[in-house]
Amino acid sequence: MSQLTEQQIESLYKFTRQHFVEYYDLQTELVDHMANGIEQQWNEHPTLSFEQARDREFKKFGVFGFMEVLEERQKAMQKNYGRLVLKHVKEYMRIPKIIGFALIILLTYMILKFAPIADEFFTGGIFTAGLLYLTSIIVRRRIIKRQNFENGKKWMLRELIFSHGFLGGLFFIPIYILHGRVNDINGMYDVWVIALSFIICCYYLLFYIMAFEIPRRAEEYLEQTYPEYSITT
Amino acid sequence: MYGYEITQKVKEKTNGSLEIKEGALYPILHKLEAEGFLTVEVEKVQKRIRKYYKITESGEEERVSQLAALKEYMTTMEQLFNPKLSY
Repeated sequence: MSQLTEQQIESLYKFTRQHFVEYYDLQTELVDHMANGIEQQWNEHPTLSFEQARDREFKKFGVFGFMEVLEERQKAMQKNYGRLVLKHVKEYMRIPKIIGFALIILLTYMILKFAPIADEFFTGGIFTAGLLYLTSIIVRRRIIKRQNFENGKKWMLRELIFSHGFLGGLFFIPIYILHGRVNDINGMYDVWVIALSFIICCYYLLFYIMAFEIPRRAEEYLEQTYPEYSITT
Repeated sequence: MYGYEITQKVKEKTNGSLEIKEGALYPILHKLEAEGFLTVEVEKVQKRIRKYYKITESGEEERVSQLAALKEYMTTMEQLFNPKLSY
């Protein structure tokens, strides 16, 4: 049975890239599939050229080519990322981390309720977090670009991790909405100040997890998600 | 089993009457993997990387329950289209 040469395999990688599959994790799977199909075709029709057999295989993916596979892979990976975030959040709902988290909520409540600068604290907090968020996205993007350039491989989960799940500025919309509605925090009912403190702390916790905790452990998660990661990097 | 192998196996087991399209197979596999019903192992085969999918314990439970649901559905359909009439 005829087998593909290394150059032909490399050209299949190029072919997937030309068809909008930028991520190496998906490329490897599609290349192996196409390669198997091409070898099978050569078995049945030995006169076929590599390009003819490749195009026949590609046709089997339907009119949208690899797009459907790519979109579904992105959805699956986003689900995976969401689960990762949830795992980290759950850690803060258990001892010992919950103690620190509860203390921060209490401190936020005390500032919002009793400090004369409560409104400024709330506004300043939002803008500081927004600034930190944007800075971290810019810095991480540079890291991704450099890593992609160095090893020529893009990993879907790594992009998700370093761009905070592609949430971008959407992450802060609920806080901005809240900010527009909230005035004179000191004078609010206790229950509302407690709720506000809780919401703010949950948001900042999520921000901290997505922008710092998960990216710090990116390599570990990439190795867990992609068994091929350690053999190709 | 790896993706290509699955398409061939299905074709073989059903004597060619059922063909899984490549555009449908991988989205399903990735979805099942994300839900924890499948795990992945890789191997370097003939200068390329091959991904093998393996069913997990929860995947096996899901398979059994889905099969039972399908059987129940088939029984209901059979009762609908071939009712046992008695007087």
